Amino acid sequence: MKGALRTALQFYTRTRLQRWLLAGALLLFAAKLLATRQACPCPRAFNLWPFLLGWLAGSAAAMITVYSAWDFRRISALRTVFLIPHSRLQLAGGMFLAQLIAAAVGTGLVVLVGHAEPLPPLAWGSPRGTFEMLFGCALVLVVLLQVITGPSRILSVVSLALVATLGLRVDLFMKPEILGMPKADVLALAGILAWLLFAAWYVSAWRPVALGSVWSRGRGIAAASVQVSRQTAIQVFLLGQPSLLRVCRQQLATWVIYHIAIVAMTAGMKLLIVRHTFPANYFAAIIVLLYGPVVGVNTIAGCLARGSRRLWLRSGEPRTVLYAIAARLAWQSLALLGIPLFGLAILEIRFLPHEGFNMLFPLAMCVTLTPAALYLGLLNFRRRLNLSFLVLYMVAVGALLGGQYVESPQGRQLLWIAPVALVVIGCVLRAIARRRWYGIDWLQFRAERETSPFAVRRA
Amino acid sequence: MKHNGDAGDSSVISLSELGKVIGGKAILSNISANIEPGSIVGLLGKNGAGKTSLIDVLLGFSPPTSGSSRVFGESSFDLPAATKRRIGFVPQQDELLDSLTGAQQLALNAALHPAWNDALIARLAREWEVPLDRRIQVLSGGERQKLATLLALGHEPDLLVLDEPASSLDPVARRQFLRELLEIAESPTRTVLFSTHIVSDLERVASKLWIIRDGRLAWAGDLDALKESVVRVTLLARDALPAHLGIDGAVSQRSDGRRAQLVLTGWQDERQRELADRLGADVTVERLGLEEIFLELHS
Amino acid sequence: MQHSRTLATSHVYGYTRTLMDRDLQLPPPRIFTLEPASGVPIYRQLIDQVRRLVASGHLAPGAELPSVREVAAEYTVNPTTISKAYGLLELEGLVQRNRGKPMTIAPLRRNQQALTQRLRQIESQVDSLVLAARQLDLQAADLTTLIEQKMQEQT
Repeated sequence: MKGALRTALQFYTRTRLQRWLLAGALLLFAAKLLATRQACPCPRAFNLWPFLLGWLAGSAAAMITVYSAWDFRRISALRTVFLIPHSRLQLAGGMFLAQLIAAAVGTGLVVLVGHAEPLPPLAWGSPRGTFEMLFGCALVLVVLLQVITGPSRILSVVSLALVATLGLRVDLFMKPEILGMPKADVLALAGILAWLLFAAWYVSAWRPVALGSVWSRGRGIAAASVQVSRQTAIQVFLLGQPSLLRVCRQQLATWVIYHIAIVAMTAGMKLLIVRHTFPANYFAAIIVLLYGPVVGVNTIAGCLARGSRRLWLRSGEPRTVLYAIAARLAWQSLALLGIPLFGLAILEIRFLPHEGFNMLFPLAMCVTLTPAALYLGLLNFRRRLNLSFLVLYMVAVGALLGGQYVESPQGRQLLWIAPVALVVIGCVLRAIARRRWYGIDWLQFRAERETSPFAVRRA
Repeated sequence: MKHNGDAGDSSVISLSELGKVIGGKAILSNISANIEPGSIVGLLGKNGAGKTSLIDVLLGFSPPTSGSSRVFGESSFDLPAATKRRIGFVPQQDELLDSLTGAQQLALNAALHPAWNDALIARLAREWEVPLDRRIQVLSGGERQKLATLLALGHEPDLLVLDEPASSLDPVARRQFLRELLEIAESPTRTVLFSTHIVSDLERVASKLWIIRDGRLAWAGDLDALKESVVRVTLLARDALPAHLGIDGAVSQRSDGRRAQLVLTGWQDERQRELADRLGADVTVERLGLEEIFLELHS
Repeated sequence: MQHSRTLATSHVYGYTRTLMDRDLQLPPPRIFTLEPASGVPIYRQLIDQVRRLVASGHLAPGAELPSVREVAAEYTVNPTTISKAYGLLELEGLVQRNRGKPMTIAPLRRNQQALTQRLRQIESQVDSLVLAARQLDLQAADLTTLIEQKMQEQT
């Protein structure tokens, strides 16, 4: 029991980054609650500061949960964990406890500051309601992340599709009761159920495959072509994979599968469940298509950055030429990913219904986000988890969602600053990436050794 | 205890007051040494002493914070393509691509080097029993290491740099690998620098030795000279020995009344007579193997 | 083809194993014993061993020494250390280089070194002998008797 508690705490405080995120989130949350107190209590007015701070705090909290879930993944894949008895039980229990503690802390914060007005659509205010909401959401988020990045591609696609379609039924969350039980209870129960299912699989399963395997599962080169040209050889070394086309094809396939699954589910729901009242809305499906190239090009550019070391001695090229090659490959991958996905998205915007959602703004945001994502990827020499990209991504998502709340025409005009800003950011990042590559110090980027929190204590 | 080689324009590698600082920590400080063509230089040091960092700076992966590093006369950070072609490198963490087979990986390397010796690689792959038709993902650690070594040998480089090349090899494979190294180094134009902690390998094949301790060069010179310079001296005196014996070059000392055991550097045989007379004791001199010397230097 | 002889027969696990003399095709023994892990450098070991072999008569004048390459390959050691040893031996006058042919032991010369110098060469071995004698609690007289005995045997 004590071990699980210790694990739980470590999930949130193991690395310095998590501690910073935690502190930041708490500060932002406190600021948000104070701002809400000070703001005008008028029901329909849009208060900027509370919204912004609340959204930032929420994002920070979400990032903490995401990071701890990813950390959980990484630790589970270590061989040492597999050898230590009951380590999985401890890990799973620790994760559960961690979410419990987080929800309790969150509830405590809300109750302490005295923020009692129930905020639709989340019904929090009462301690029990808040706790159950937070707990249920955190558990579901963690389990979802494990499943989405898990070894079973089918399961990850299905779960993502399910979540996307449920997200469309926002009206479900407006009601205070679902299936005859209070909403908060349902959420908490759903979270616990999901967790039990996942934990049962996790404790009994073979070693979970390390993160990233779903995205980069490569089948070997079919024919043994022994004569290779110099250009091809350079590309293969830089990419770490047999060919750029293969990598892009994998990414394309993944995103298109998600997209199709969501489309199918949405259509199915309309047909089967909400025939007359709820129009089919393919907003989520199109959003997936729009964000596909962004994430995809970032991943590929990251691979290129990490593969650059292989080329230093072998290819004989100086760093400037290596940068040119890598940038060119990254733009090629962007074209290979962006043209199909953005093209399909544009077609769907034209032909599929997406009531109440203006799709041009997200389209512009994503298209302008891709160069920035590309250069951020090229700067990602060290880590697999590209945090600066995540930040940019969250900002973009925030701007997108925020755009939905803006009602006045002037506000809408102002929103278009965001894509322009992204273009500028892209240019700045290009200059930074170029400068970084011209003076790469690969010694500094050598991967840090994995330290398992379950390291055996020496006598 | 440094012994500088002679600086020369024909040096293969010349380091001059090399220093590297990362994150406020000095990983390398004030390293000056040269390697002449035709020698096999061993790089010995504890884990974390700076062996791999030194090799990284030397080959241009990382710019030095202070001082300079030159390979074949060119600055390491800006090595031209022609010089890079004369270098073969086997890193500690191999950079093999898992989804390819050994033959494909070799073909990729061959595509980047115009002068690739297929016959040599075929012969070595056969002798060392490296399977070339299986995917690299399924190879064992030793086979991966052998394959990585093959990748560096194919273009017959003038300078071969190896970072822990034999750590995963069984004794038979290690002996084969050492034999190949010796054959390579027979040619007076080819030089080998290899870092390892397998001391017995160094004692066999290295002619010069660099010992790195905490980022500094504790020894840069002949291996034979090191063995002759460091000795363990046992003193058995008639009366109790003073605590401070005043002997130059003592690295470590153990004393117990009339007996004392010291490890000395800079030894010359004449000092035995002189010590015996001065301290009134029987002096027994024992030569130390490289492993003992290394342990004493780090005690 | 040689006619093989049966040397021995043994019964192991119900099988009969016959040892034939053709099983005993052993490689020729090595002349030197080089220990890379010793505190004594390899070239010094080689020099000492050649001296001893010459002094004991195992290597007669005119006997061929294996080439640097052969020794280096046989013992897997650096050829520079072997050629250093051979170079020093040549300087001492113990071996001589023949153009195009392997090195040979030089014809025996009356040792012209001074007595003190010759004694100094053997001094380290005397030190080891004295240390061992002390540990065994032997007296100087016992040792000298033994040494005289051995010197008479060797001639």
